[in-house]
Amino acid sequence: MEKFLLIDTEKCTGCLQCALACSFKNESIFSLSRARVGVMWIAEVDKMVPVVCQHCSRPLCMDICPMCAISRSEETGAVILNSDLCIGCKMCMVVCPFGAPVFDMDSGIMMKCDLCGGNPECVKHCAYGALTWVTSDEATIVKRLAGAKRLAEIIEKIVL
Amino acid sequence: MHVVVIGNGIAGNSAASQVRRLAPSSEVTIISEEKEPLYSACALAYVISGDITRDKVFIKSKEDYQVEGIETIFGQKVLKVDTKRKQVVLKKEKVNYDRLVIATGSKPISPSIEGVGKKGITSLKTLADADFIASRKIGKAVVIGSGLIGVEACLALRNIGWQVTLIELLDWILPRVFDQEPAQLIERLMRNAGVDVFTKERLIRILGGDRVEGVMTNKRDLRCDMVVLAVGMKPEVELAKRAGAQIGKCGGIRTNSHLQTSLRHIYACGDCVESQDIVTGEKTLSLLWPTARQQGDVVGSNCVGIERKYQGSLNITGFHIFDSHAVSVGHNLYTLSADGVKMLKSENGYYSRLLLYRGKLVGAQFVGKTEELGHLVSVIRRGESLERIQYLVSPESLNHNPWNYKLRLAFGKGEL
Repeated sequence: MEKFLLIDTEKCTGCLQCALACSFKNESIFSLSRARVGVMWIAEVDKMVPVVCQHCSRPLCMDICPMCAISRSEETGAVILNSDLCIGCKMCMVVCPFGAPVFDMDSGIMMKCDLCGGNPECVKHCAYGALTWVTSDEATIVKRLAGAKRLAEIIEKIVL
Repeated sequence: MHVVVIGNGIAGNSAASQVRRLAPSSEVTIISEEKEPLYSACALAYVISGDITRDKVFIKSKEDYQVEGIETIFGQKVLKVDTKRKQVVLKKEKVNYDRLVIATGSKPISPSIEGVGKKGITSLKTLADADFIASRKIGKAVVIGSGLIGVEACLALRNIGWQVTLIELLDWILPRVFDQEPAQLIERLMRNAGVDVFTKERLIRILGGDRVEGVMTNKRDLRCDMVVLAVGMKPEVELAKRAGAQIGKCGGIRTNSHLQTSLRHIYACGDCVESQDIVTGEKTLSLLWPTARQQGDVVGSNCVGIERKYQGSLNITGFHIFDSHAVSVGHNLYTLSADGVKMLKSENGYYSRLLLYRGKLVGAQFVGKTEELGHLVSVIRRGESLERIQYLVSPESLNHNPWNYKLRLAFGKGEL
């Protein structure tokens, strides 16, 4: 069954273990600039938000790639980049609303999340459970539970 | 069912692959005049500049077609389409079709001036053109026309040591892609790298005997060993026209929203098609890679009976200027020459310009830093109203979506 990378921003502390684990797994180096996942601090609400490829259903990066280097993995459902085909034109980076594809200055080509072939390293190293790797059923349940909890809190506060 | 695709570009291949995916039992054949398997014309400048090797421009090998289950007839010209018999007529054979996809692409416009037939004159559209340029001894080149291809040709040639001069008829370079100010910024970057740029200059004739020796413009004579003609592309519609398909007023094959031509069972996609602009809704020519690819997907679906509408085309173009990067999305003041276009500009470390029209974002041009553009592309594509953007960037909608966050960076200063 297809699995999802579920992000719970409430739990993220911004420790960047995910990014370091990502760069070490994929690039054999602990470097934030070579990680496919990053954490953004949104100042207005003082929140940490892990940002990673959303593996969109009809991604523009895939359509715009002049080398057809971006495709969908039949195995994992991830939107993956074939680095042998990439020529580093940066157009995928330009069109992505999330900034998921990153340009690697060293190799001159792009890097992007491939969900580690169905076993994402970032999840294993997220000590706070902000990143989880779940089936779509589980994801639904988690989301519903969170919604129900919030609703319950509100109902609790209503004075009849 | 047999789907026949004429044209082996990205539009034709997308259509063929889509048919394969959606209807595994159907037959698919691609017919192409060129002998090479699918390659990316967008990458040709990278080959000339030496950034990538020649074999890297190929997206598919001949075996890939077999693996995918797509029949190929390469190196044969289609003589005509017999719509009554539902046949494609080639020199040596006839191919029956149930659904036909015309993806014949575009061809370079050849200016009607004296001397265009001389040796040493080329365009930059096919692999053969790139091979020709690569085979020349490095010397002096003149590039005529400063569209995207012209500019990319200049930069690539300069990169490997050619002395390059760019001639543009209009007031500034990339006139259909960038407005004056960003274009002049790009021009400056090109000059800094050693490209001579002459705007507002008309090519009068190409000089030399059998071989090109120079060009004459209305202002000067320039000596050169090679001329790259990049004055534009036009849809290749000859075949469709002879088959009886309607041609639109922009010069591309006319289609409905499902990309079906005026002929039964015949679809068209890619550069040869007149498409609908996603911003204005008007007919336009969008001779760009993503348009071709998306149209190919839509046509492939429609061929096998899974109805899909084409959303409309959005121009997205970008290129490297040595260490810098420039991108233009949607419309500019040239393509949307209407009153009431509002402009938001910023020159904070890099150049950005947003164009607003009738309460919507219609265009964005960035030079220098281009990674903060993706959220704007989706705003233009979705046709989001300014009220909605204003709401998204306001404190009331502070949700933790990175997309909103980025919008806030672009629009949060209350300038809308």
